[in-house]
Amino acid sequence: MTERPPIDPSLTDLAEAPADDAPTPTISPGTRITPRTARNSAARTSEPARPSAPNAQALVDDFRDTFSRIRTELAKVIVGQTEVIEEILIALFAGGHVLIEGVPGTGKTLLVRTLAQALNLSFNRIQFTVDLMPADITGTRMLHEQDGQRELVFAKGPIFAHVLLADEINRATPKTQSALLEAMAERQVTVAGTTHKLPPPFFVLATLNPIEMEGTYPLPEAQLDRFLFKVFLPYPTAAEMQRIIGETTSNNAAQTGPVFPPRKAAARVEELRALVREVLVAPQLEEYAAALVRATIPRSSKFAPAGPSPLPLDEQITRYVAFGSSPRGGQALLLGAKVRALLAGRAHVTYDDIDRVAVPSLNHRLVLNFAARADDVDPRALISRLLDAAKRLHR
Amino acid sequence: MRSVSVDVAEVEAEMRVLRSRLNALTLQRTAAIGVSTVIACGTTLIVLAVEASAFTFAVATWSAVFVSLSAVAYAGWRLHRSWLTLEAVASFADRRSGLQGRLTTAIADPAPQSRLRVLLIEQLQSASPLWRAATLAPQRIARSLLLVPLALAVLFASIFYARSPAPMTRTPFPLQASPLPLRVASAADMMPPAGADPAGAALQPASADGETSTRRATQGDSSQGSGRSDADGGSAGGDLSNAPGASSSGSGLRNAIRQALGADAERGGAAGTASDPGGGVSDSGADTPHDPTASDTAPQPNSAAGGLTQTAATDPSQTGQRADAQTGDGRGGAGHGSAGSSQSELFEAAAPTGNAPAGAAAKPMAIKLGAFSAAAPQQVEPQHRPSSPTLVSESSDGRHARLADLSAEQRPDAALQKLDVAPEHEAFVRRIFTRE
Repeated sequence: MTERPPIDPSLTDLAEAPADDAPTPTISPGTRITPRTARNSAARTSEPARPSAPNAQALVDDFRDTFSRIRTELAKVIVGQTEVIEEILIALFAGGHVLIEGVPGTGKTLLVRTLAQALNLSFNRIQFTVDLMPADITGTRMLHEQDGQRELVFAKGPIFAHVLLADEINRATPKTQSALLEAMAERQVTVAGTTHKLPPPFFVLATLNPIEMEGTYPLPEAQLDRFLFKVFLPYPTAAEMQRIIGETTSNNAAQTGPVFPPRKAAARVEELRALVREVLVAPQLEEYAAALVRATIPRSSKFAPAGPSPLPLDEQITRYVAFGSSPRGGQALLLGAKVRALLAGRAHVTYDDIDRVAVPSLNHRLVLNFAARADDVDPRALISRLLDAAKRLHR
Repeated sequence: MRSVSVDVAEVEAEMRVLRSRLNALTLQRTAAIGVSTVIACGTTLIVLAVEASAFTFAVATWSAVFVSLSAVAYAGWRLHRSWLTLEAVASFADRRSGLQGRLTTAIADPAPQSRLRVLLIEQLQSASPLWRAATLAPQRIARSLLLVPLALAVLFASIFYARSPAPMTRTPFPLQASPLPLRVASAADMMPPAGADPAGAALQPASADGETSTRRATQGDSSQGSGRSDADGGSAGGDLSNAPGASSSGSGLRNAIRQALGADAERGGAAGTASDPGGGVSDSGADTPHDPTASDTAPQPNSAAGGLTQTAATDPSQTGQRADAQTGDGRGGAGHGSAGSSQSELFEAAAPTGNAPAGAAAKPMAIKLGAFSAAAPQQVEPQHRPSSPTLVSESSDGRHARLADLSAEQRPDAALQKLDVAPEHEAFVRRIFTRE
């Protein structure tokens, strides 16, 4: 049964607003050092200026503080899963989307909803089923009669939200799944020849159910590639399980408080995203990320690039991988590494930052062949092998 | 607060200083390795030129050339590999000071407009004591440079070792004689120039006191030194030509080393005895004006010289080049003279022969000639020059027959007899050899 997504009238103006209308976060020189004043001055000042070192440190501290507060709010509701939460938040501030794979009942939907509440952003959920149509997601034109005149008015779909939960996305048909393609990549939807901008920040969290594969449609590679990270939600530990069942079966369930004020939440998230992109990356690290991505492409692929690989090609990559990562994998590596650098209080990326985000960035971009499925090969193990080789040789 | 660009320039300037220091250290290390290896090879060659056989020296020469070239090539390769760019220096400083890539990023300056760039510079400045050139590369002189003076010290020590006199070593006489043409050539080099007193080239009994003769040669003047070199050069050339794998460059190098060190007279005696046991001409030593004691030792009979009754010419007119040849030959005499334990069996009571040339201060000796009985017809070879003494060589059969007549102690000293016979003594010698 398809769950008809509600349409939020308050999002109309956001949909029409261009994406680049977001305020440019700048700080004038000599501003007071506190993060709040730095943030406010950035919102007020239209002329870009180079901040002093204390102000730059304040920006980093503000980012770390915000990140920590969001994590704390999520931890009030979500028991355990700290690594998954951190990866989701990294993807959020890196400006990407996340594909969450986990067995039913592990809190995927609760996690996404709690995140939206903590960020104080608009949130919509779409339960993907086999009869869900693209118009059910993007919206459609409806005949509207007012003062005796009829006109077609665009009714926005549930995709017009800051945080979108695409629950069990693999249960919809490829046609419906592809409705998300343009929205995830371009942050816009096109209906009846009219392009509508999506409200920034636009953050899609899709869930996959690894069991009950009957009647499911595996996501096409093109859509998989649009997710910045793919994270796996494991079963909770015994202690976490005890806490979960204890807290969810009583009346004193924990509530999440918003981290951002209601009307400034989107701007704040965009500001932090802009700060992430200003993290410095040395050319050697860009080369390292590119080498990692290049090493996922097997020699046998007819699309393999010319020239030798900077890293030695792994025998298992050649044996089990049909297609390697796209350049989006490299983008995911660097963006995720930048967020990690800010979380460490640094203004620059290190090799370790790239290594830490390599598995969630690349594991869903490796298209495995039949031999890999027959041997039950995990792409995360292949990437771990690549990282080990890279640590030995490239560094 | 200073502008960011100035701070980045400071970081870059410090990295340049560090780079120059590290590259200078690398240059010093590689140069030290290359130079000390070459010096070590030279030292080895010097020692081998004096001590080892010609074959060993030839092998060592080529090995030294190979090792030296390899060392130079390795030094160049290592210099190329270790030569640091500015980015590499920044990476090195990052690792050494635990800056987690801050210096690398600052040098690359990937985003000049970034708001976080100033934070990076500020963090670097706060940690500046960790990555200053004085901290990371305090030394300006590589410790590897100590290898060079060490190698030079060993080199000089080897030179002094080569120049110092060493105890005479006795080399067993090889039964296989060297090719005759080379012997002749060596002897021809030792011939006196035309016009010299032929009496001076008369056969002289070798000095029984070989060591005394050697010391005399060591104390000679420069003309003696060159003469020794000439005489020994022929002998060394004969040795190298016999050695497998020997080369003219190796022999030339060996001669050059010996000539430079002047060590041939001290060390070459044994080698010369081994390769040229007869020595051709006996040494009277009395001709050398620098050696007043030579006349005392020269007339001593030396049975190993061939068992001939010979006269010791003490012609005072003989000087110069004659002394050179005599000195070289004296080494051969010294080698024979060292076999003094069996001399009493060879010599009988001295008796005047009455065949000594007129005008020569002859000291008659009676020597057994039975050793030459079997090979007498082949012993005399035609003279190459009418005015020069000729070499008299035994044939192989005759030598073996003579060896059979000698005792075990005498056999090592039973050298080939190559005696200079003056033209006026030719008939006398022929008569002696054809008597039996």
